[in-house]
Amino acid sequence: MYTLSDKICAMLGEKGVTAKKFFQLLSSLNDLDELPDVIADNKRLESLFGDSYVSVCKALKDCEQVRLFSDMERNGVEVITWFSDKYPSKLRDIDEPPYVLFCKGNVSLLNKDGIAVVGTRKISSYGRRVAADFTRLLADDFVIVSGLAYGVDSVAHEVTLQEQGETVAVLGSGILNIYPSANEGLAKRIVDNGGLVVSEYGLRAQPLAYRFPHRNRLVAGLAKGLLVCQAPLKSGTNSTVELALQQGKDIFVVPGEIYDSGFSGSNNLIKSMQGACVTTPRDIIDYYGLDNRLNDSKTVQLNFQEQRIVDALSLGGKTFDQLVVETSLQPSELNFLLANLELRSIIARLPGNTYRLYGGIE
Amino acid sequence: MLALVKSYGLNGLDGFPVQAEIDMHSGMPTYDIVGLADTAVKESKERVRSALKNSGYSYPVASVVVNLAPADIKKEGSLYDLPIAIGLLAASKQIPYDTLKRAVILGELSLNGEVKKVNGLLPMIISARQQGESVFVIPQQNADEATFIEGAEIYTVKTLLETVELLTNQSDKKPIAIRSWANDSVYKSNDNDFKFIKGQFAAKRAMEIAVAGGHNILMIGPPGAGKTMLARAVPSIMPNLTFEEALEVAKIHSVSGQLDGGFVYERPFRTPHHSTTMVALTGGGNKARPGEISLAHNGVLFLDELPEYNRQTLETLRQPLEDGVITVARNAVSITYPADFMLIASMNPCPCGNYGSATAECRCTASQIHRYLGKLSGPLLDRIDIHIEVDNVSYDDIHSEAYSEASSEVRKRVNKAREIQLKRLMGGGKRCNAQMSSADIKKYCKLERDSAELLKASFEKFNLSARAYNRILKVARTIADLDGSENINYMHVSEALQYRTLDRKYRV
Repeated sequence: MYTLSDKICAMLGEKGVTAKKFFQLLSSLNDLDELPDVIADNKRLESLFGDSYVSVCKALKDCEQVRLFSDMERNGVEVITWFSDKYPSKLRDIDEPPYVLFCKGNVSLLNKDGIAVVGTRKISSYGRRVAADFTRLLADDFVIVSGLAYGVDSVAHEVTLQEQGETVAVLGSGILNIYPSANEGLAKRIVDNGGLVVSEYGLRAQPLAYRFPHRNRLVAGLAKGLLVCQAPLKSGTNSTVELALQQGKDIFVVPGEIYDSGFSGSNNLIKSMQGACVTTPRDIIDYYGLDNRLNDSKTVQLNFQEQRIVDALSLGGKTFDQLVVETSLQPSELNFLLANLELRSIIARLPGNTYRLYGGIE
Repeated sequence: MLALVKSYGLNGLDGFPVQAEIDMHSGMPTYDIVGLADTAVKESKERVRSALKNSGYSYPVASVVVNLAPADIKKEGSLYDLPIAIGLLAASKQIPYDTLKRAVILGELSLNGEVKKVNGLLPMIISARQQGESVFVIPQQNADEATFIEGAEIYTVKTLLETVELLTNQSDKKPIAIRSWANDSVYKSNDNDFKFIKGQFAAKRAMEIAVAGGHNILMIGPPGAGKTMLARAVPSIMPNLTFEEALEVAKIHSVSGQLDGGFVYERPFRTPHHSTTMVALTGGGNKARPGEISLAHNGVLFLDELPEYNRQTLETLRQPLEDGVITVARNAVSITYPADFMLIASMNPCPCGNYGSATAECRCTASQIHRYLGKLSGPLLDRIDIHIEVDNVSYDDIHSEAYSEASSEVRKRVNKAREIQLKRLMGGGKRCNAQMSSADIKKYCKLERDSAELLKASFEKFNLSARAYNRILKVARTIADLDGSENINYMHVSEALQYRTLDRKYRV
C-alpha cells in the first residue's frame, strides 16, 4: 500500500505541482515526517506555491484523495514516487527529477538498462527502416525507451512488441489521456505485453506543447544510451540529445543522406562529434560489450525464381514494375512470389508498392 | 370538331399512354392547354402556331382547347408539339381525321416546321410496345434509339409536312430497318486501350482481376502516375455489353438526354467531379432525374481524388453499392433507377501526394496523413475489395517498344472468368464474385489446408483487419477463376493478399 508521503506526491502530481516546487517544499523540511504538518500550514504552502496554493490545499485536504486513488485503481495505474523503493535510482541524479511517476504495466522495467530510440515524427522510409532494424536487434538486450509519438517512436515500440522485447513509453500527457490518440491501441498493447507506459503528469493532463521537450529528460534519463534514427535540423530530438548530453549518456547516431534535409540534424550531430556514428546495431552492442551471443545467421532455401527476385533487390529497393521488367515474370506470378517472400521475412514491402530485402545490415 | 392523337409520357424509366385531345369551337380565338402540363408543354402554343404557318397550313381562328389525358399525371417536355399540331390540323379539317388512329406520335417542333429530337424516347417506345402499340412516328434525329426495337413499325420524320404526307398515305416512306444487336456489339477500339499503357504491370493485373470478379477497386498513387488513364481503359476490358444491358443503359441515358451516339454500344464511363453534390450523384431534383451512379449503370463510375469528395456524398453510395439500385423519392414521385456499376476510385497517398514515392519527397506530417486517410469511412472501404498502389512510370517505360497486351486479349480472359462465375452462382440472381454473400463465400471459397495456414500467418504478419478476411477470399476466388482453377490454391491466396494495402494498419 502507499505510504502517506506517496499519497501526497501523487496528489501534488495530479494537481500539476512542478518538480521544482516540490523540491522547494521538500528542502524546507528538516524531516520527512513534517510533510503532513507543512501541508496543514496554509501560510507555508502559500509562500511556496503562490497563487495555485488554494487548489493544492484543497486537493490535499478534502476527499479528492479518495477519488484519485480509486480512479487510479480502476484504471490499473500505479504510482511510484521519490520516496518509494521502486523509484529508479538513475533518475535521482538528473536535473529536475520527477517526484512522481504514474505507471501502467511492468514497473520493474524502470530499473533495467534501456536504450532510447528517438527521432522525428516525420519519418522517411529509410528512417523507418533504420529504426526498425536497429530496434529489432537492440530489443534482445535492452529495454527500448521512447515517447509514443508518431514516426520513429511508434516504429520503435511496434518493432519491440513484434520481437517480444520490453519497451517503455514516456508520455507528454496524462497516462489516461494518450497523445496522439491514434496510438492508444499501441499503448494498450505495450501494457498488455509486459511493457510500461509512464507519465509524470496528472492522470488526464493535457498534451501541452511544453510537456514534450520536458518529458524528454525522462526518455534520456531512463536509458543508458540514446539512438538517434532520423533527425532534421529542427526537431524535438535535438532537445532529447541535449538533455542526454547533460546527463552524460551515450549518444549514437545513424547517418543519413547528406542531401536529405530529413537527416541534417542527425548528420550535424556526427559532424560536431556529439554522437557516435553507428552503422549497425552491432556497434552499440559491441560498445557495451554484450556481444556474446551465437551468430544465429539463418540460411534460407530459395527456389530459382525467388533467387531471381532476391538478386534483383540486392542492389536496393525496386518497385513492382521494375521487378516485372528485371525478372521477366508474369505480374500474377510475381505477386505470389513477393507475398511469400514477405511472409518468410526475406523481403519487405514499402509504401508505393516498393520492395526491398529485409534487414540486411546485420 | 374534336381530334384525338396518341402520344406517350414518361415517369421515371416507364412510359405511360397520353392522349392529346384537341377541340375547337367558334368564339374568341383562344388557346388553352389543360392536363397538368409544365411550362415546356404550355409554350408549345407558339411553336405549333409558327410551324403550321411556315409549313403552309393555316392556324385556325377559333377557340382551341388542348387536353392531355390522363389529366391527373404531370406531363413535361416538348414532345407533344407534333401530336398537338397534327391534332389541330385534323380538328380544323385540313387533314382527314381517321388517319391518326393507329400511330403514336412524338416530336418537338421548330418554328420552321422541322421535327426535332426529344428525350426519353427509347423507354417510351419500349413501354408502348409492351402495352400493345405497334406504329410510331418519331423524329429523324431519334432514329438510332429505336433501331433495335423489334416487331414495331417505326417511321421517322424530318418535318411537319413529311408527317402529314406519311399519315395521309401520300408518301412511300418505309419504316426504319431493325438492326440486330450482334452487328454493333463489337467494342469500338479507341484511345483508351490497355496496349497504350506502358509499364503499370501491377495495376493492370489488378484491373483485370477487378473486372473479372466485378470488384470495386481503389488506386492509390501520386499525381501523374496514370490512375485516370488506367481507369479510362477499364471499359475496354469489361465483358461485352449484352443487348439487355445496353437497353437498360440506353433507357437511362435517353431519359436524361445524354444519348449522344444515338444508342449505347459501349459501357458507360462516368467521372463526376469531386465537387459534385449528393443529388447529382444519386439522382433527384424536382423531376427525380437519374444521377451519375445510374448513368454509370452496367459500366464504370470513376471517382478521382476520393477523399476530396464530400463525406456525406460518398456515404450515399453505400446502399446502391450493395443493392445495385437507387430509389429517388421527391415530393410527388418515387422512382427506382438501376445503379449497378463498378466503382473505381483513386486517391493520393497523402495530401501532398508523394508519400512512399520513389522519386519525390513527401511534405506531410504524420497526423495530416492520418486525417487524409481517415476521410474514407470504414463501411465504404468495406465495399472496395481491391486496393492497389500505382507509382509513376519511368521515362524508359514510356518510351519502351515492349509489347503491351491489348484490351481485347485481356477481355477474352475476363469473359471466360465471368462465365465460370455465372455458372457457379446461377440462380441466386448474382453474376460475379463480388456479389457473393457470406454464405456463398463459405460454400465456394473453400481453402486447402496450406492456403488456410498461409492466410492465418499473413493475418498475424501483416496486421490485417477482420474485414479483410472475406475480401481476400472473394478476390482469391476471382484469381482462381481467371486461372481456370476449381480450387483456391496457395498461389491465389498469396496474390489476393497483395491487394489489401489500406488494411495494413501500420502504414503511417
